Amino acid sequence: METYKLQKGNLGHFLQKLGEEFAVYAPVESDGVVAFVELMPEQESTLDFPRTDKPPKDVFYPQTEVMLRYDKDGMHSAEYKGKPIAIFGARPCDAKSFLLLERVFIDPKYEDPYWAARRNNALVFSLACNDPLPSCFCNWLDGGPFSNTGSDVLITDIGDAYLFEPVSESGERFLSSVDLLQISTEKDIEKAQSAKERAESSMGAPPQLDSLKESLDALWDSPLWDEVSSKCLGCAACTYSCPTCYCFDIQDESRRGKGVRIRLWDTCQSPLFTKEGSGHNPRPTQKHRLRQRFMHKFSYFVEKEGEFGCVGCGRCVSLCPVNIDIRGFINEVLKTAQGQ
Amino acid sequence: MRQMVKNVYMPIPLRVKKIWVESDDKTLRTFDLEFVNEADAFDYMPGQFCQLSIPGKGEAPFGIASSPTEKGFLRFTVNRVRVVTTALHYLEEGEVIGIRGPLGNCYPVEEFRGKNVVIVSGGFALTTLRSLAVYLCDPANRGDYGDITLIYGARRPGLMIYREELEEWEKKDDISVHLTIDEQVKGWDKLVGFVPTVTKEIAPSSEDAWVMLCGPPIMIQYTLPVLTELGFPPERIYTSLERRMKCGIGKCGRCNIGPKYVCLDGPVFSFAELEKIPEEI
Amino acid sequence: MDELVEKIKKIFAEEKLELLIGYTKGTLPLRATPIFIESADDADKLIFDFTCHNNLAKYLLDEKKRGGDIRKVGIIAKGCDARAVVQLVVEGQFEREKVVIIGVPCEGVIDPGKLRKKLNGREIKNFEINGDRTTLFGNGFELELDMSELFSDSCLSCRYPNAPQYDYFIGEPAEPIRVRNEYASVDEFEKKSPDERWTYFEREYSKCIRCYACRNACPFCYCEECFVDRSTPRWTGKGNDLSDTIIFHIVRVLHTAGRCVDCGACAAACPLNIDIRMLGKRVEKEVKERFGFTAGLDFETKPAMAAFNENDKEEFIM
Repeated sequence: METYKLQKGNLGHFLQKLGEEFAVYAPVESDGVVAFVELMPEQESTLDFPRTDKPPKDVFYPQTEVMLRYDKDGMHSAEYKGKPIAIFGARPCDAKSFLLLERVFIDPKYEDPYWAARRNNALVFSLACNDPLPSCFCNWLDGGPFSNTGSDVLITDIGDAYLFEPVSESGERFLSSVDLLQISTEKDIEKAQSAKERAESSMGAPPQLDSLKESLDALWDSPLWDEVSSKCLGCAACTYSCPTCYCFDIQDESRRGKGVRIRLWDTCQSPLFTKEGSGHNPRPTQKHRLRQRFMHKFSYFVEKEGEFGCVGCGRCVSLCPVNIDIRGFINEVLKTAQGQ
Repeated sequence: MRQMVKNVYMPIPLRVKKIWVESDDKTLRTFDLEFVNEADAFDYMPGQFCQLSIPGKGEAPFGIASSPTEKGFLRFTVNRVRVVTTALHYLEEGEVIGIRGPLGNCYPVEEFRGKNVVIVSGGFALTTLRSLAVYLCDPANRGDYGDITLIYGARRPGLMIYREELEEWEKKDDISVHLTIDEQVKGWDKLVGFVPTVTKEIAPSSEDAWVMLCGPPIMIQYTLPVLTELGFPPERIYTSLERRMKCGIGKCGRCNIGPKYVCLDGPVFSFAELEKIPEEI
Repeated sequence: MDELVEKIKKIFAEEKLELLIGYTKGTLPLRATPIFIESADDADKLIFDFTCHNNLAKYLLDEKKRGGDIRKVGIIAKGCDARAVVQLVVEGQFEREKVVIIGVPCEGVIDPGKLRKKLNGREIKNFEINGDRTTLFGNGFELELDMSELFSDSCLSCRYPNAPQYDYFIGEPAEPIRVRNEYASVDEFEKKSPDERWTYFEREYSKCIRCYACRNACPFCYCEECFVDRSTPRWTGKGNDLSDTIIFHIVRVLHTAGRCVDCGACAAACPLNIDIRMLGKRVEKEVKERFGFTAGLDFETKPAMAAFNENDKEEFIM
C-alpha cells in the first residue's frame, strides 16, 4: 500500500471529506483545554497538541452513557446509532489502547453492545509523535512514538505536509477515495523516517519488563506497596485520564416511572468500589486499592490477555496530584525483585 | 453487517409467583419467580447466579436457590440491606421485575460424579447449596453420586433458611442432614454448636469425597482447618465467593480477586485455585 | 536545605517523633512529592522550596485511619498547611499533643496545573531560577516567565505565609505578599451580571470529570462517606452530568465553609485546571464579614460554623 501525502493547507478539506462518511472526533481547543470532541463543520482541529489530558477513550466509551431507557412498557436499549466514527489525531498510545479495551468489551462470550456500536466500522487515524514528552514511556511497553498498532492510518507530520500511511484495509479504502491526496515521494518517506529515528532515540533505552509480572507477583506483601500508597489521595485522576482503565458503575435514574439505566466511569481507587452489602470491604485501605490498580495493569491483565494493560502514555505521571510515578515504581519493583 | 446479538445488559421480564418471609427478623425473604415469556426461559446449573433488576433502583446478584430439576420457577432468597434489596422486599405477588442470567460458573458436578459430597454451610449462604442438594437428590441424578451429607448451621432456628424443607430432608434416606444452632434454645432438640465444631464431631470421611463450603467468612476461616485435618485436600474443597457486582459479565472490573473475576471465573472456586491468588477473599 | 535537615534530625530526637511528614524531590521538573519518614536517618531526603505545593495536613487523618496507636507526628507546614493543622485540632480530628508543627517560611508555591497550562501541553526538562524570574527549557523551546505567573492563585492573595501556631520554626519568617484585598478576584467577579457569572461556572464545571482529586486533596474533606457517594438518599448523580456536578461543587464549598484555609490544594490537584477556588473564596469572604472568623489561626477560637454567638448576623431568620 502506498503512502499518501496531504499538503497542510488542505487539511480542512480532508476533514470535510472524512466528515461526509464519518462522525469525526479530533482534538479541539476550548477555553485552554484540548480534548477529543466531535468536529463541527468548519471547526478547526488542534493537531499539534502533544498529548491531551483526557484520552480519546471517551469517544467509544463516554463517561456517562445511557444503556437502557425504561417506562411502564418495559426497558429499551439505547445504543449509539449514528454515523460510523473516525478518530483523527489520536496518538499511537491511544490507538493501541483501543485494541486493549476491545479485549474486554468485545470478548466472544459477552459482547458489550454499547462499546461495539461505537467501535464497529470506526476508523482510527493516529498521528505519530515527533516530540515525545519527557513523561511518555510507550517504548517501555512495546509501543513507540511512530508505532502503528491499533491504527487504520498512521499520519506523520513532515513539516509542510502530512504523510498518510494506510495500515489496514479500511484505512486504505478511505484514503484511495480522496482525490486531495498525492502519493508521497521517496524524499517524503525519508523525512518521515528521520523524524521517526529522532523521536525514538529521544526517548532513551527502556528497561526490560519481561520479568515485571513475576516480580510483582512475588512482591505481594512487600513494604513497597505501603510506601507508594502512603501519599496516594485515592482520587480518580489517574484512572480517568488513563486510556486503558475501564471500570464502570451502573446506576438507575428515574422520575415518575420513567428513567434511564446509565453506565458511568468508576474507579477502583474509591473506597466504596468493592464495599459489600454486609459492610465487609476486601480492599479496606488505599494500599489495597493502589496495589489492585498496578497489579491489574501489570499482572492480572497479562494473565488474562497476554499483554500489559498499560500503553505508557504518561498521563498518570503528569496528572497525579502527589506525583506518584508508575515508572519509578516499576523500576523499584524490578530492582527489589532482582535483589531477592 | 454486524450480527444481531442479544444485549447482555437487557433484563428479561420475570413475574413474582410467591413470596414468603424466611427469617424471624424479617431480613430474609424468599421469592419464587416465573418467566413472563416462556421463550425466555433458560437452563442453568447449581451454583450459578442471576442479576435481579428493578428499573429505577438497580440490580444486584443473587445465587439461584432452585434446582434446574425444579420446573416452572426460579427461587431466590434476598437479604435486605440497601436500595435494590429493599425494593425487592416490597414486591408483591404478580409484579414484574427483570433478570439477567444465568451468570458465572457452577459447582463441579461432573468432577465429583460417582463420589461422595459433603455440603457445609451457615447463615443464608445455603441458597445455591440448596440448588445443589436438590439437583443431586433428584431421581434422575441421585444414582450418579455416592453419599450426600449436609451440615448447616444458623445463629438460631428463626434465622435458618428453608427450615421446613430441611426438616423434611432429615426424614429422607438419600441425604444425611445435620442442623445446628449456635446456642441452645427452648424447643430445639437437634445439634447445638458452631458449624466448625459440629463438622469436626460429625467427621465426614474425606475418602473419595468433595466438600462444598459456603458461609460467612468467619465460619469458613474456622471450618477450613477442620476439613484439612479430616483429610480433604484443597482441590476438593469448593466455595462460592461473594463480591460487590455490577455488570456480572466480567467487564466493569469490580469483582475481581487477583486475576479472576468472581462473576466470570467464579463464583465457585476450589481452595486450590484460591491458594494461588494472594488477594484475600 | 541543610538547615532544614539538621533541625529535623534534632526535632526527631527532642520530640521522640515516630513519623515526619514532609516533602522530597519529585520525579518531574518543578515538582515535589510528599514523603513519610520514620527515622532521623532519612531526614536528608527532605526538601522545602517553591515546588512544595501539597497540603500535608491531610495525611494526619490517614495516620488516624491506620488504626492502632496514633504515633507522634511531625509535619512540615507552610502557613496555610499549619492553619489546616490547627483547624483539624480545633475540630477534634487530631490531638494537639500528638502533632508537632514545624513551620517553614513560604514565599509562594507553584501550581502544577498552571505550569501545564503555560506550557500548552508540552513538558519541560529543566529550569533555571533568576531572582523572581524563571527560564523553562524543553525539547526545542525555551520560556521565560515571572515566577508569580506559576504560583497558585492562593499564594497571590495569601496573608499567612508563616504558620500562625507552631512548635518549631525553621528559617526566617517570610514576608507576606503585600495584599491590599485578598478578595479582589471575588469582588471583580461579582461585578459581572448573574448571567455572565452563571455562564462562567457552567463553562468551568462542564470540564469536571468527577475524579474528586479536589475533595481528596482537601484536609477538611474527611467524612467517612462523602455525600456524593451516598445511595440512600442519592443526593446527586455520580456521572458527569452538569447539574449533578455543580451540586457536588456547591455543596462541598458549603461543607468547607468557615474551615477552608485557601491552601489551593484543590485547584492544584485538579487535572483539568478548573477554577475550583472561586466559589470557596466567596464563602470565605462571607464567613469573615458575617462572623469575623478566619480559620486555623489559633487553638481557642471556635469555628464560625460550629459555634453560636448572639451577635451573629441573621437577617434571614426572624
